[in-house]
Amino acid sequence: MICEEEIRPRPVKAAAVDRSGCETTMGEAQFSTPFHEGLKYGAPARGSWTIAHSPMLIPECHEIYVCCPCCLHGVVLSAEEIPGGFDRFSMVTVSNENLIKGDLEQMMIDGVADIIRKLPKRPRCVECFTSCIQHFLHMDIKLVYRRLREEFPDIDFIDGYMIPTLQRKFSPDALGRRQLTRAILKLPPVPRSIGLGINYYPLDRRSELVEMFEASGWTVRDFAALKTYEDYRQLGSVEANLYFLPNGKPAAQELEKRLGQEAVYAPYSWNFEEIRENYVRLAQKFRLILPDCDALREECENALLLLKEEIGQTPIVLDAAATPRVLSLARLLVGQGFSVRAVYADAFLPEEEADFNWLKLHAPTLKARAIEHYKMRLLPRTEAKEAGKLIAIGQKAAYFTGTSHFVNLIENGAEEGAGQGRDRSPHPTILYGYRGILRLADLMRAAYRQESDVPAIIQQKAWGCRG
Amino acid sequence: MKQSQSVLSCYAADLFGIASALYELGGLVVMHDASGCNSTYSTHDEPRWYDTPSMVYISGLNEIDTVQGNDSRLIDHIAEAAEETHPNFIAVGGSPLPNAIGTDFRALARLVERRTGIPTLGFRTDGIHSYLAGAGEAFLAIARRFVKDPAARSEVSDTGDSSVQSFNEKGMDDAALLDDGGMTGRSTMTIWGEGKGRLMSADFVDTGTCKEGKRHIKVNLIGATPLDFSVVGNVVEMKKILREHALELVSCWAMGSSFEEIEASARADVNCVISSTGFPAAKYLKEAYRIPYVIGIPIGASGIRRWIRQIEMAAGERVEEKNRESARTKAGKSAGEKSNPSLLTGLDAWKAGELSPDQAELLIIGEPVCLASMKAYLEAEHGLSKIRLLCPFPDAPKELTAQMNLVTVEDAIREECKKARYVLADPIYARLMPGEPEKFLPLPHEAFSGRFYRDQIPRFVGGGLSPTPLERLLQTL
Repeated sequence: MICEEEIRPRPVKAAAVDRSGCETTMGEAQFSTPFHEGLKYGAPARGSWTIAHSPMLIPECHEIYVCCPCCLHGVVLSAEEIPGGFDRFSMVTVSNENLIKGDLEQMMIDGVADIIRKLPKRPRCVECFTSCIQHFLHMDIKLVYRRLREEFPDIDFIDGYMIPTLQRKFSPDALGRRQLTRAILKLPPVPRSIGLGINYYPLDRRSELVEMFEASGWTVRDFAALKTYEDYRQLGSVEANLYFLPNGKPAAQELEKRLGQEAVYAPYSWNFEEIRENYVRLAQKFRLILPDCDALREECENALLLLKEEIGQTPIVLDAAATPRVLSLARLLVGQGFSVRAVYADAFLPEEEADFNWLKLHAPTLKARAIEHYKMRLLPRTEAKEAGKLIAIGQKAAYFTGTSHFVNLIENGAEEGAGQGRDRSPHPTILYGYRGILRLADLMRAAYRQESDVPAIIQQKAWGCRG
Repeated sequence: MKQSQSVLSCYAADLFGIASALYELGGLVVMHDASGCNSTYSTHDEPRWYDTPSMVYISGLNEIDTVQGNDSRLIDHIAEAAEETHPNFIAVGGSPLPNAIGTDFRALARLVERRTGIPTLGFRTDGIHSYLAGAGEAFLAIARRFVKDPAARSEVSDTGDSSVQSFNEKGMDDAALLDDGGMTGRSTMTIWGEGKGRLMSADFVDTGTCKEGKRHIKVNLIGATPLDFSVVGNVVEMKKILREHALELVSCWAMGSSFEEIEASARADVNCVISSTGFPAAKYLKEAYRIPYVIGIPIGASGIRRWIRQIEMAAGERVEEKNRESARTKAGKSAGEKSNPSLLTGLDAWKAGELSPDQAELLIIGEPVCLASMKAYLEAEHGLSKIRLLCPFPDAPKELTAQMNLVTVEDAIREECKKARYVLADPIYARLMPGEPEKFLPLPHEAFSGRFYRDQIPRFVGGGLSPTPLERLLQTL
């Protein structure tokens, strides 16, 4: 039983700060980093996946982290919170003795081998993670994996990296996604097969994108929907890979370079014209039947009109963790007459510049707010109360405004139907294209009508992840 | 392989201990790290994070600053935030990479303090030591820097140096006197025994050189963090017990007390060390202000009686007021520093301990003060014997682990579990005994399993362990 006096102690008073530095308007914001960098705050909205979760997408893959305790404590408990996650997770602890002795390679070889030998079932694949400290000290990572592959030839080893300090080339998330492809080997190509990846949620099978491919006789292999390790291996046989967000690009490029599978960008977009252009491009490239984009657009516009009639000028806020193309979504909603109040994002993607400029022109008073800026810790979270009712799209937007009316959208993934519940094992799928917009309208209507237990939902780690 | 852990978790690291200890004191706490540490701490170790707006931040360390040893960006960012928020103090510690390049946090603290005019504490953390060392150093730093001498209230510490690196090893020699198992007659620790001449537990009272005093006892609770007590009412219960026995709580380090109350801690007659994290500060306060300390948690009726009696005993022997007022001499302060070797500098992380071949009726795994108090409770109120204590912290204060096995290696802990008829520990340890759920009694420890089992953490202070696991145990014994 939680003791209120202990969890909310009275002596702690927040310093009073203003919004300067962490909030601006679209009219005044600079592209692509509108806020000054400083000390960073981590809001307690945990739905986004981390490096401990993404390897769970590979069936029968065991994760072994070789790091210092401060890093291990987080990833091991993050895995613990995932249903079935802990059974697929082990660790080798780096200590000061190793740094002084310089035996980082041997301790990793010995530690990983020891764990593999003790596992109740031999894993098909092991992704080992090394951390900043080993790479900063130039551990011979190739030697380590060579020895491990010699000792365990029946296991596919993936070199994972948890190196947030050393991110010259890739962000941790992009690198994490790329490494997930490392055990995919070249297989004889299967004609008319396409891979989708790497997303954390499967694409909604009802989306017109899946329909386009399947109607033309293609097999769609979705990385986020793999059931067996054989399914994972079969990704080596696809002709091409579609990727949806910039963080998926290094993974797709890796497969293109290594296996000759063409990487094709099919961005998440909330813009009717861009969606159409994507489909036209894909239809031409893969000889697919183009859906009736005009009819789908009309269906979306009607749905949004109906939604607007119901929610009126209820303020809407959204965040960049909900969708990578947050400005595209803001533009859609503003364009359809909704009252969009604020967008939470620390930076915008380069490909969002056109949406940024559109909003600058058409919604210059729309607020741009930081997520990690230190003041975000201290500002009151009472905006929803003051507004009477406020809809948030995304967990961080819900947290910062204090609303209980929110769409639990994470990286374009949401639960099937209009579910907003506290189910620890939800089955989110990705909202994509026109039908993604239709689903979003349903989710917004549900959020408007129903309150959610926001603290209970958003504090759950890695929404939808399973071990 | 000592360092591989197939199924176990690891305890919260030193940085998280610092943040947890300082959380409610109105400071600006900065973890010098790229990103992960703040998320780990706030997700798993800090139940107050959602609603209590404490200023705990991450610096966003990047590669180029690491390579160049450039601290100026960190200092700029801290100064920027401090000038806007006016914290009571600033605290900064580092993760493994700053440790690897030898970041001088003591110097860094001086620079920040000079620039902001705000007292700044620098901690030589490495993300490798446990929260015991981190929180212990944080409380010690608070004691050294901010506790005001009741005899000279206007006195302000002038060093700006709360780094732990100035301690030497001599203090460790003094502390080792604990092993003599009885009253030493010196200003060192004595083990409290009761009945039949046996040691009840590692509950201690250190009366130092105190002399007879008078009643109306004022106490501090030192060592309270959610990492050891969660937020299920254990600390509130301790305060209630003090009130019910007409004892005055001066401050609680650091749950539920303001920074000002902590500053006034030297008013107390007795310090109650309720976890290992409070031990270094209590030692310092004894040396600096002659405040004796009692170590233990009041678990069960017998535990409450013992705790109160020890507090009264310590207070009764406390130094005369006039002596205490002049106690904060250079010698006292110096002694306080010397007797507190840093817990963050130890290197021997992997211990298999000297394991006993004997079977134990019950094996308890956890934090040393809790272990000792739980043992005393189970022996006194449930007649259990053959209880073995296993401390998995290599950096726990040595004085507190003399009565227990220090074991950190997973395989060795598994062997100890096999030898025990029952095991009382965090539920994650149950994975060492697959197929034997009947012998495992869960006692979740937030510093180990984070928030995952929080709803199962009992309020063990006062009334004792919740009946469910105990009933199971007693029925079968």
